[in-house]
Amino acid sequence: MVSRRQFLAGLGAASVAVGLPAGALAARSRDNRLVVIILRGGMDGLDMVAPVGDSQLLTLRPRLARTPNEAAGYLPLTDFFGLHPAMERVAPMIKQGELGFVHAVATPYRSRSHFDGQDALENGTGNPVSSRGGWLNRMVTVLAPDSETFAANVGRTTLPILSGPTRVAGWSPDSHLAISESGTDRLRRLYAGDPLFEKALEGALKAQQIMGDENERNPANGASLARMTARFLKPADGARIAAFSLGGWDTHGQQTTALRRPMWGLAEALTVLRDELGDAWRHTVVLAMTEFGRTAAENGTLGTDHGTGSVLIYAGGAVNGGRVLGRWPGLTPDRLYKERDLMPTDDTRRLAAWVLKARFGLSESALSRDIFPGLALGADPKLV
Amino acid sequence: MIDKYDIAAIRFGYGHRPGQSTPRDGRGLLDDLEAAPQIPKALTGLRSAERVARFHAFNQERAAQTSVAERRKVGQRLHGDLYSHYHEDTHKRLMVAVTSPHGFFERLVAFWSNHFTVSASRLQAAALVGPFEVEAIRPHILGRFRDMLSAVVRHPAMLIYLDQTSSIGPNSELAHSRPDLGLNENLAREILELHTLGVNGGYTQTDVTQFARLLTGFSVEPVAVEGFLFQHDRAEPGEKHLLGKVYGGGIGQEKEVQQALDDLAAHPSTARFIANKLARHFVADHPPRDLIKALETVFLENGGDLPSLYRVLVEHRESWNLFGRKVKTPFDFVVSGLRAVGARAKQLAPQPGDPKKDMQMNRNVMRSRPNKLAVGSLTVLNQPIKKAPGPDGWPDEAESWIHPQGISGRLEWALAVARKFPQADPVEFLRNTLGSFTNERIMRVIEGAESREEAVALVLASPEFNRR
Repeated sequence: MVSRRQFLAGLGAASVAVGLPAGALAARSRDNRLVVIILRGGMDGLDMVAPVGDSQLLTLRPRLARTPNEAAGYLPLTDFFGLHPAMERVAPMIKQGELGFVHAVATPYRSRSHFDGQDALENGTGNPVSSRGGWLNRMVTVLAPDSETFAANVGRTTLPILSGPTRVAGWSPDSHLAISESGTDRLRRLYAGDPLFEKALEGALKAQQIMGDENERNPANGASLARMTARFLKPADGARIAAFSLGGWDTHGQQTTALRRPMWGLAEALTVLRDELGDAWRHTVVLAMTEFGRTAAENGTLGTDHGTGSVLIYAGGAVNGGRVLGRWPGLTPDRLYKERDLMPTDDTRRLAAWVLKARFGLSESALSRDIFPGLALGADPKLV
Repeated sequence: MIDKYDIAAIRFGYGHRPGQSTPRDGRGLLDDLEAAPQIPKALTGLRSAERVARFHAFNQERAAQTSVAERRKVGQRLHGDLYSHYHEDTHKRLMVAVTSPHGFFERLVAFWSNHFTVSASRLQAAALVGPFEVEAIRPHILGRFRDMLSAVVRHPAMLIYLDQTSSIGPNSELAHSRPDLGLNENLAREILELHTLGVNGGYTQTDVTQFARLLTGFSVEPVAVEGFLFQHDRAEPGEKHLLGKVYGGGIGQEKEVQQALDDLAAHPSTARFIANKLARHFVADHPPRDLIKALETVFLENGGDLPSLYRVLVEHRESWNLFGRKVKTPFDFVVSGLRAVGARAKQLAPQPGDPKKDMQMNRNVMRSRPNKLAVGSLTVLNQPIKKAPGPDGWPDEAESWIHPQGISGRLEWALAVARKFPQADPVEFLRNTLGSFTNERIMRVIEGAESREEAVALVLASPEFNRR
């Protein structure tokens, strides 16, 4: 693994004076929070935000599109798109302009393996084989290399998006450290000389301080993760970036029932974030993204297989929501990717990059060279 | 001076257990593989055919009910039965590892089971994950990769887990009467990506689809002896082209699938993939190139003969030099911790269930509940036994397990175990557990502990104990 010194040296001189000078950064962005939610399994964007106005939809999905949620049909969203009924809980947020979607997006990765696709999404290069860690960690390295609490990894496992040379805080809704003061001291001596263990212990001690002694019954569900995320981000001296993941999106069969729980979980997570962040919500941007979408046509088991283009969800008090952005490619065979998947017309990373630029004052060169290597920034998609 | 005896036990087994002697060195490890019982007595009752039949019977019973309430009641008993089997099986499996002197054999079983992951995260597979390991993995540990692959692909657990049971050939006989069914690519993709060639092994999306067409006859039947049955009316007829070769041509037959499995097992990408995984699992997160190369070569030269592979692994210089480069997964950690304190099966018995209460509370009717220090602890440590979140199984890398959440989990468990299994002399416990890996630093910390319990917990929480 690359040491922090080597890593910073590799970034180049220009990025040391990245974006705004420290003073301006403190004044403008100190309140701004970012939450990234990784939706694992390949979320079916065509079902979450269905192109009901596209004449091809029912041809491709005669059963799924007619009754996406057992008995219920899509909810009205725009003239062209419908919203999956299981996302109903966020309808008010959409109405208030605090939640929107960008359709037909993907990373440059095209091979449809979950594990590689997630790596490509989280390492920010679009290429799964990259030893540079996660893009969110690179962002932290640029913005706050000496703080170990600027970013928080929420949940039982370390997300690749936050792995890298810069230390981040981490905790899970069901973690707690039950040891005395002097016991802590002995633990520190026990771990001295083993950086991996030392790092983990220090992180546990810090998180324990912030979180106290809560014990959640269902640590993997959206609401618990969102609640803990809010606790990390809300305080004036708290973290400013957090990430967690939600699974269950890999719906190869019986999609009309299989997609419900993950959608409810996501809708609840977004609602809990808003409720628990309170005043901080108006400074917050949430991005929920997936490694790839699913096949345009339904398969033989009332499900869908791995695809390409999908939907990115953006939310927060700081966003221009209430819309479905993106350039719709169409669903006729000649418009599909490999005659099979929704064709992506934008790069997921580009959307994240512009949010980082607007909210954290990162320069174009830092974004296109260090955080998302090789990315062409293009024009502002105006999510915020 | 580091003693090979300790490396053999810790790196290639599940660590020391008081009163139990284990192989002394590489030669000893290989000899012990031959001596190990392939199917320990405790696991002989795990049979998939019975479970498949039971599941089928429950479903019939449920379908025969006339009211929603009655159907739900049967459902609670069905789900309870599935999960009860899951808990009972996994408890037995854990205890085998805790008590067996044949650590290397058991580690290999765990390795191959993870490679060919079947997960109870899919409800219908929950009662089959235990029998799967007994029927498809254990008998082939000392056999050929190709035979393990075939046993795995034919096993009801795998066919159910990866949706093969709902896949039929688009041009099969059955397709005419069941237009609602069609081709499912899940199993085909995972065999290529996770079991044989690996994600960069040189296959394309077309290969995945073609392989899926090949597999269409594979299904599960409650009336079949093993649960597996090749169903001709579901099989896709015609030629299939996989990786530049042609299979089949007339009506679909199992023979053509077996030919494809032969070729996949013999493919150079498979040799490379398996060599990498084995080296990464046992030796280091970034294994030495020459070890990988040696494993790859012997895999190809000996037609996937597994004992030859193990011999190269165990005889390689680096396997004995790089101690500590691997971190124990929660399963390794819990098993080796329970071994270190000499835990016996009786002391870790699952709690009996309360069927009446379950029915009252509208919950699944469980025969038993997992023991918090054994199977139950693995859920807290985020490696619920045989319930990996995806078919790629559990990661091997240190960073996946040692982080604030992971450390606090292990420490909490260590304290609980120290209380339940008190040790009269923590320093002696330290020496017996770590052997020649005992050092001054850890000795000083243990001697300064507030209580015997804390001392024992610190041994179990130490980097020395958590690495192998």
